[in-house]
Amino acid sequence: MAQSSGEGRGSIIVDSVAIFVSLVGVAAAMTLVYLSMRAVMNVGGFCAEGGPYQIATHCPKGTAGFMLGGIWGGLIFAALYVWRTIKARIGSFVGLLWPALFLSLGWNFLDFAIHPPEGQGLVGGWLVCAVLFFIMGGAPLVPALLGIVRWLRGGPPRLPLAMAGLAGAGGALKTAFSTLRQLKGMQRDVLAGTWMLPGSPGGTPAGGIFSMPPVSPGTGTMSSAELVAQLERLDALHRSGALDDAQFEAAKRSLLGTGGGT
Amino acid sequence: VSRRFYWLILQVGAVVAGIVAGVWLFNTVSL
Repeated sequence: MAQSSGEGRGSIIVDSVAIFVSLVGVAAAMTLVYLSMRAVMNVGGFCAEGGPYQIATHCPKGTAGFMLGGIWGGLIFAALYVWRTIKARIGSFVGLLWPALFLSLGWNFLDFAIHPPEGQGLVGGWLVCAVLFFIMGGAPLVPALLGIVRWLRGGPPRLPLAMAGLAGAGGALKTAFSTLRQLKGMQRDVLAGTWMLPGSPGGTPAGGIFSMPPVSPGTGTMSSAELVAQLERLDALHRSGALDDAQFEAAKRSLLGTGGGT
Repeated sequence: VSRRFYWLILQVGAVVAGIVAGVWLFNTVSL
């Protein structure tokens, strides 16, 4: 929160670096897509790499990777950029990303429709694409620019609707990751035998299926080494105070009764 | 207002740097 008075200089520096780096990533990715598209159009508009088929036109060097990396990298950097600008509560160029992408690629279509690589006349298909891309990119351009001007004049930073959705998806992803981390921690504790039920009294380890490996009575499948390990763990819990005497005795009896074959 | 212009300049700089980086990367790999 760079604009709240309580935050120090460090927060502005962190925000600045994060926003700068992510926006450099977005701009670089879009530039790579733009240049790769031009390179592909220069060999006629179609090319291929890899796969089991005979390839009529190979892609210009690096363009296949740049296209893929540019699109996915651009999306990831854009998500990071949106997230950081919301966090810093600043107006961002996020509303311009869509127009920038479509207008730049639309320009490629127009340029190559008028000046096709093989010297033939106007390429109708590419001209149609150019018009479509200009409409798609141009329509949100004016509100996006107005939003930035309003913000510079003192208005609140606003997100275009689509970008707000993207930010929401980023938030959901963050929640999912933190839940996954918690689950992983829980799994580790369960395996180590130190997992506690939330709010269990006196820090007693949770009973039930997590505290002991499920050994059905009478099967006698537990090896003696496992039994010794279980007893040692039980003893450690008893010593640490996690189990009181009665609980320790009960657990020990249950272990010996099922695994010991007595 | 000066803080808003700080962020504006920072973001314009990032866009320019990104375009330069993209062109450089493309030319380095594909030429």
